[in-house]
Amino acid sequence: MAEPNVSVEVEEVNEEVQPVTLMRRERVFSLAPQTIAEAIDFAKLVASSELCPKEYRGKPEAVLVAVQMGSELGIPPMQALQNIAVINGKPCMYGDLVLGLVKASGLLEYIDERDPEEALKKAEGWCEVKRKGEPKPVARTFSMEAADRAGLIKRSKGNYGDGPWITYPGRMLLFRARSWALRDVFPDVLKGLQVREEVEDYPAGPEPVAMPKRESDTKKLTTFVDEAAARKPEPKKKPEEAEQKEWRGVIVDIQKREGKTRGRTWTLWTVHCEDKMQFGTFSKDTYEAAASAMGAATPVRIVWEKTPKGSKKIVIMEPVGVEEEGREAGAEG
Amino acid sequence: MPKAEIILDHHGTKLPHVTTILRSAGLIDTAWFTDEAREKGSALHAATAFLDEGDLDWSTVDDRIVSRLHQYQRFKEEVQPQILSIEERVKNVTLRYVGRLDRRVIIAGRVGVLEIKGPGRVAWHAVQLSMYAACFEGPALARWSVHIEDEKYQLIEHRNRRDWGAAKAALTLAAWKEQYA
Repeated sequence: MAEPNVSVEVEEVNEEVQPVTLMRRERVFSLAPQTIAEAIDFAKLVASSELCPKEYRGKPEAVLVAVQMGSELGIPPMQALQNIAVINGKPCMYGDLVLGLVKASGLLEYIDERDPEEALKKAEGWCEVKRKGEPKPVARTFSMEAADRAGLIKRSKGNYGDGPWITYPGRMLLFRARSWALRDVFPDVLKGLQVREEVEDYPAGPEPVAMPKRESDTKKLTTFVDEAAARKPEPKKKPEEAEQKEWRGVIVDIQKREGKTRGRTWTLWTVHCEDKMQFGTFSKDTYEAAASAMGAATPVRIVWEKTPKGSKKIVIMEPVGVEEEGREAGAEG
Repeated sequence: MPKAEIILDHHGTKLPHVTTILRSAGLIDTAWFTDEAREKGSALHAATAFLDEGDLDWSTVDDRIVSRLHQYQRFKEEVQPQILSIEERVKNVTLRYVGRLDRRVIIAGRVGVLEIKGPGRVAWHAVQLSMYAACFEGPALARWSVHIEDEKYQLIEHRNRRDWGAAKAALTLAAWKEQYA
């Protein structure tokens, strides 16, 4: 039988066809999701785990975005969750890790920076980077004056402790200069990722809408303070070392403990507040006012003093605003 | 404002909420809700409830919802609804779902269910109201939604009988998804 007169050219294909994946499997055992369905399941699982970073807990969609962002940057999922944060709606990473990414890309010829002490001395951060294949290096600076003009120093002065522009200004100057230099020279490597230290300085969004309160709740707190003030005309005299301090904020939890000492039963209420502050009281009235304030999420002013055992004892507690009203009324009268 | 409770049937099974059912059936899309809109909605609901109970501390009302709260007051003055219940927990034992109804009211001599909504009018409001109405025995209740904006309010009566059909379909779909999907 004659061969058919057809010539067939076969092109050698050396590349294997790869399925569309989120990340290549590089190890024998890896939790890296391979498909979008796996990624969604993974995100749900991680978001419900206690090991999940706090800002991602209960937010599977944010987990998914961080994992995807990490995969685009070549970072494994768990590392992405630890290192990528979403602040003011923007994905970002710490300055040191951003530099690590650029170094890992193999595109950095060199980086030269002014160290934090020197930056502080000169009141200006400076960073010069050179990308391989580019004719010239790029240098960026960021001065204390610019930080002041942008209101960064003012914003860093907090009620509950100062921010990094007050505590580590030299390091912040360095990070700002580095951030600008790296983002200008390696936009393809960083893929829109911003430096966390910079994003944290951006003004936050609008204040959350405040929940209204019942008139009866507000009255209850005010009345308690009035009654307490009437009952205790003068606070007990304390030893000289018992210095009184003031704290303001919201109560988040109250725990009760009962016991018996020298035949007398006692109840100690521990009031847990935001910022991990905690105060103790044996007074039922104080406990009830605290519970009422916690239920209504009303900020309170607590005047406290240290006991000989080192715990914080509540001396006065009142809703924030009451003492100002009292002062105004007193001034008028 | 009472916190959401988990309602169990007599077997101890948690019953789904009306909004959960509608979301599961794909009728509610929360993807485009903004945080501010959510916060405004929650604050307005709480404020209207305290106002109707005669226990609102006006000094604690956020400036961003004051004008809407005034519109709600205007609605009450002009429509004169007789409020029978506020934020009532409702339950349909037969079809196994629960919900929190904003108000049960009498308007112009007719008893009905009323939901307080923002400016946007969407189709699922009618379905949600039909599910709330089906939690009460006796003659069919009227269904209203009052849409509160900064400058005006609008009272809508929902009369489409097919809303209940959509509600039943949503129930079936949500139950199917819960079991198989």
